[in-house]
Amino acid sequence: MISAADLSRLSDAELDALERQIAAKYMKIVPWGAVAWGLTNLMVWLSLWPLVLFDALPTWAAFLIATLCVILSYLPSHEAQHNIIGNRGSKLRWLNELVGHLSTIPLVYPYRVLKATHMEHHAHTNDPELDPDYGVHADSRLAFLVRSILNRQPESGRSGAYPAALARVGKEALFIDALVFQAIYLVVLFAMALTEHAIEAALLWWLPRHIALTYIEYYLSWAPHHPGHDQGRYRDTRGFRSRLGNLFSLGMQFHIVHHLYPRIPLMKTPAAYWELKPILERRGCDLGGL
Amino acid sequence: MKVLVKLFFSPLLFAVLFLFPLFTELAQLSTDAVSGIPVWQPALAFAVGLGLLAQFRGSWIGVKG
Repeated sequence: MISAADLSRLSDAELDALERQIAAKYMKIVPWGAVAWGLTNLMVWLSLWPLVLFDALPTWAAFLIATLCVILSYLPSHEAQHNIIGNRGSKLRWLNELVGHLSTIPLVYPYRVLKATHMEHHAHTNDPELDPDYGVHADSRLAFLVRSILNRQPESGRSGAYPAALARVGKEALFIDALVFQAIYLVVLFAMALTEHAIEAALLWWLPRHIALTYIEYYLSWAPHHPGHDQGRYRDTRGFRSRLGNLFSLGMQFHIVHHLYPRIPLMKTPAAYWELKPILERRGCDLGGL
Repeated sequence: MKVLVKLFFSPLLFAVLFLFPLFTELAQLSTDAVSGIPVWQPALAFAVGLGLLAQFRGSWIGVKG
């Protein structure tokens, strides 16, 4: 560990080099855990449907598991969005794309849309006009919850944020992916309802998805970027200490590392954070007492 | 075609094809009829009411974000 006194003697260029050198140790690591997580999570969620329909599992228990599955469905795809599992041209590229496409099915968000809009989020974090995730910002946790509910209304301003981001980067065609995903989701809900399984559909997909969207938005968008006023490499993301711990906050306490070095796998961000912490402190980052 | 796509994704259709059966099933967990009225009737009225609110006010809860 480098002391603050040692760091104070480094020039800005030397500090940059040291920061990159530390970060590089945690990159180019295949996150096999995220691969297994993404694929297993999808299989568990899919298996709930026959288990409930054939009365092998109580619906209330399936609801709890389904909610957990949908909450956990985003992050493996997030690794793929950053090409962490397999970069372009690598042997594992197919696996990167497979995990990316499959893992977010329960969330009803297509991989290509998430990837394109997420890159815009990274490029323009906290920019009110250009950050497609800016709409989740709110002054307090309660205000976030209210905003999250309002954002989900059919004609909310937020519902146009992703299509607008796709249009800005010339990828409007990807909106078809979103329509197809949404259409399949609705067909399943309608078919289940028409065959007198509306409660099962609501508790396996509809309600878990709504809970998961709020949970994911809170930990991935609101908490690490709060209050959302600052922009810039060392100012747009913060560290924070979650009362629920690192696991239940989806590893987002260390999200600042992800924004600085998006190619570091999620499971390596805590270790990278602790090693980078003295540098981040010298940079004046908001580490939230972490 | 555009009209059909809009209709398919409309809140009103969601209310009729999903919320109405859902509310009916939920009501039927306790009873099939209240004061002689089959529970599907108030379930339909409630679902369509919500659907109309979402369709024409742009919000299921009457307040837009």
